Amino acid sequence: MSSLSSSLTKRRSRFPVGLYASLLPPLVWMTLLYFVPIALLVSYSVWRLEAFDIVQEFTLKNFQTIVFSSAYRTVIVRTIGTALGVTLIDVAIALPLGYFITRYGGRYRPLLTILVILPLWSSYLVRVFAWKIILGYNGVLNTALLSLGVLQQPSQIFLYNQFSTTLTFVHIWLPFMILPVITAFERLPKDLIEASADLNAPPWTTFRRVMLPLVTPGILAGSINVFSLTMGDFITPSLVGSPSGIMLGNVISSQFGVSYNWPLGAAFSLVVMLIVFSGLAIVVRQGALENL
Amino acid sequence: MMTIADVALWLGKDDPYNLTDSDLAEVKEKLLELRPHIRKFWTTAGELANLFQSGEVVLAHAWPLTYTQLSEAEFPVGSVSPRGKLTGWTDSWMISKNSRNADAAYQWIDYILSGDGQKGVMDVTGYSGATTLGAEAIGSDRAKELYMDDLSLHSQINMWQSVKNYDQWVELWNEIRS
Repeated sequence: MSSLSSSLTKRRSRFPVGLYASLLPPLVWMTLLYFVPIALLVSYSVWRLEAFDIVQEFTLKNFQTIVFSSAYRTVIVRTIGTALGVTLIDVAIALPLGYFITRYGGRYRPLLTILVILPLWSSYLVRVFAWKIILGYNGVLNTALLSLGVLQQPSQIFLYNQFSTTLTFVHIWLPFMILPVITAFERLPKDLIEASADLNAPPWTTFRRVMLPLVTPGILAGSINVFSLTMGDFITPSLVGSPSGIMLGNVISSQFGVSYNWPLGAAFSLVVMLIVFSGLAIVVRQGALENL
Repeated sequence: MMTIADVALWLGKDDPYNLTDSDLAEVKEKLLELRPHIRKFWTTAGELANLFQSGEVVLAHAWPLTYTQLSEAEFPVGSVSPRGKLTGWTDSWMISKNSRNADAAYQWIDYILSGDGQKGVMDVTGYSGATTLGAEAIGSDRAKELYMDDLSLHSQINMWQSVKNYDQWVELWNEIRS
């Protein structure tokens, strides 16, 4: 017995084959599908387009174009603003919902959690189109308001503006916020809330000083999801967004499509990555990754 | 992008595909003036037809394809084009230099240029065809409807050219959209 275990430890200390063998596939996966594409993206972003040809010489022209064009600056600010707004609204919806499901869900808790995930089982496009049908000129909302007598004629104010973009984003990304928030509430010991009440803390104080600090990692984890998903999306703004409300994703898709300016598109993609990674860095320092 | 050329023609520029910085500034001003009236920038013909049918838009700057689709769906729609200030493009078939079946590709291109091929395209899209064989195949009445009875009309169209300062066009367009 002892000789066997000693030979095992000897072999392990010499060369941990199993460890390397199990690390290799994810490493190859990450290299081919993540690091190589990013390297390609970075190299394209410092090349330039000249007369419909990509010139492979180092230049910072693309980044200059992005920084010095007021139109592109507007798009960057709008995209960050939308992503932050959508994240905040989703937090505001997910907190009470997550609390209710974990506290009062009882034996229906698994069912309620499934209902939160259920929309993810239908196509993303279908969910965006549903909002077009609801908010449109002859849509569900206008028809309802007409029959209730609130409106005399259909209104165009619901669709194709910043409101419809934000609403659609809030709806389609909500599950990505609720799930980590539910997990955070599940980990919250009930005794702490009771103890807080026993010590005469009003509900608001209990929420602010006991619950909020303990569910914050869950909120931050959900915020990473919602923020980065909104930052990179181009389908929602092009389907339900304002005609003068394009986002970074639309600019990138047009640079790689009709505009045929891959270097500028790559530079824009790096800008998006930079913004998302800055958000990630802020959030990681608050300890959000434990709840992802 | 064709919209920029159309507006340039409207503003009286001779060559809508060769615009100077000041020309582009004028085009931009005009487009910004029009922007409040815009409900949606359409991206596919299907989307545009849907926008009409759902009552979102009543007027669009578009190709004949949408007119054809909507007329077939018996949607009340008409079409007009600006006299003498037309833009247009021709679809092209190209053979890759690495083609393994160049002969088959040539046969296909021959077919597309023939009367049958042209008629097929025109029936589906409502676009004008490119060959006199096509004009014969659809008959003189339909040819008149598609402005093909007199192919010299086509020489009045400002056909799409590759634009030298295309990145400026793209930037202008993004400014209109942002």
